[in-house]
Amino acid sequence: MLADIMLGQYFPGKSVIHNLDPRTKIISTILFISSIFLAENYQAYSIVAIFVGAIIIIAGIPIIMILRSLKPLWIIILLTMLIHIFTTPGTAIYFLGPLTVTQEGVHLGMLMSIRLMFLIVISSLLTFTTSPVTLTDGIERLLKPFKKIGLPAHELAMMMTIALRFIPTLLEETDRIMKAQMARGADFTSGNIVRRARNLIPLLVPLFISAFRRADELATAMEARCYRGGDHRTRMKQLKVTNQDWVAYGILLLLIGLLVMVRVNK
Amino acid sequence: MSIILENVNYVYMAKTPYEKTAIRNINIEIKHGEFVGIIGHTGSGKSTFLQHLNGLLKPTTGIVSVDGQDINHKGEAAQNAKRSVGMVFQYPEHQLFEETVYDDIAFGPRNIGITEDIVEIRVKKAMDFVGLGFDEYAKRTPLQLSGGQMRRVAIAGVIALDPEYLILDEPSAGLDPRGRDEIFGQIIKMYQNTGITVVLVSHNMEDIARMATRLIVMNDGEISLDGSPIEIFRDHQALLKEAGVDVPPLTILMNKLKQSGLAVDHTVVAIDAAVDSIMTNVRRD
Repeated sequence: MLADIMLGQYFPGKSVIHNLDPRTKIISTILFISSIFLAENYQAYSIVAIFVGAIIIIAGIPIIMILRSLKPLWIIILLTMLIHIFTTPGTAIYFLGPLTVTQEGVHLGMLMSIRLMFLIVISSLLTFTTSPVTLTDGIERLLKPFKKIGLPAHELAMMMTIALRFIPTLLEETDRIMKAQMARGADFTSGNIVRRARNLIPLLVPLFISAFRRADELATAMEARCYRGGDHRTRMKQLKVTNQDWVAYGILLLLIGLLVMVRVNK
Repeated sequence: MSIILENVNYVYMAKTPYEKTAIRNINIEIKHGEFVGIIGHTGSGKSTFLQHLNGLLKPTTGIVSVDGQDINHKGEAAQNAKRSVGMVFQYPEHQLFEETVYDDIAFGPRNIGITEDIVEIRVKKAMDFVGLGFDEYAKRTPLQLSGGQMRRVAIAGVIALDPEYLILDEPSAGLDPRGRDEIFGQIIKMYQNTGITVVLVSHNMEDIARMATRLIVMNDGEISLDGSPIEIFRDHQALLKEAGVDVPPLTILMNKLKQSGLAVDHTVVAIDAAVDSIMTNVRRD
């Protein structure tokens, strides 16, 4: 049931991509996402596709996992495609009742939905290859400069780490309480929306109680070990930018350069 | 009248890198009126096994039937068969949510559409079984009770469903010795008075040895031993060790005494009987 939900979807591995500094991966992902908007024709798209494909292969992520990451958003992808197909003005090639399909529409719809897929795939690649804790470490370091303007970088990262840490625990708890209530005849799957919402009470009340209890215990445990925020804290795993990371940035710049060239030479 | 598992396998998170076979090739019949103890170390598949008994988990392959009815079929008959198997999870007090003890225990019976006057009878009976006075506790908030009392409320909530089979996953975990004795005392009392079938998972070998009529040892997702506790503790100590479970201290003591030449009865499981056996032998010498 709930145990099958993918958690932060981290896919353990030892590939070059896995070993990159999380900051490199976060920055590269942001750069890559912005650079996709440079691509406007199939030529540029094939370059991007080769790049994404190469990363998937290097990272050793099974294609089924990639497809699974697209699954929750397929409706949005489809909608994007349909909206473009039906609303773009241009040469009509097909009539469907009051709607007109245009050649430009099909073209644009394809490009847009593929662009969306690239976005999703590349950001899931970030979470596939980076463990949640490493990821938050990276985010903390990246946010550090903003501390000067009052952004509580460490606290934010700590909150994220704790939240991530407790997702599996709470899921497991949910699963257990759900089963326990189902064993007492509770029904979580049928009835109208009001009824279903009401049926969730036997699940949510125990869940909240246990979440508060856990929060309380964790806070006590942290205080007992003299935790007092981010100042003067050292870390067991220091983040280090290595040559690998520079190579990664180099390759990314090359890609962006290529995309710019394709766009200019159009 | 029995629960039968045929060639049951269960795989967690199939087709992902986390894929794990939790139980494999389970063939077993739990007969009506048995008191089955299940032991095995953490991760041996005990909990997964239990959850198959009332259809909370569907076997990846294999069949589970209760009183001849395949419980993973759709339909009324399967639903009723599932309901005859009551399940008490680990730390069952975590599932309490109602404002009063009464309402929490009545949750199950109300769900299966029992009329309110019969619900009241059931709740009274269930509270009586777990030793909570109706007048004193029925209107109290379950969350303000002690840990042991909360657990009894939760167990009563399952008993109120009037199951034919009662499955308990570590009902004594986290309780102090007194709370543990009370819970087990009530389970034994119910077993003896109602003829209910009990399946009990526990880490405590002594409890199992004392109560169970049949013992199942699980190791790495498979049933490695199945028989009477006395036989298993007497004949299969090597296999028990392999499964990562300990023989009760009393059995170890009696075995040692026997090896050192004292003709004690090494199959006893109760302290009193052991004392008697030792004393008679010492006096004889």
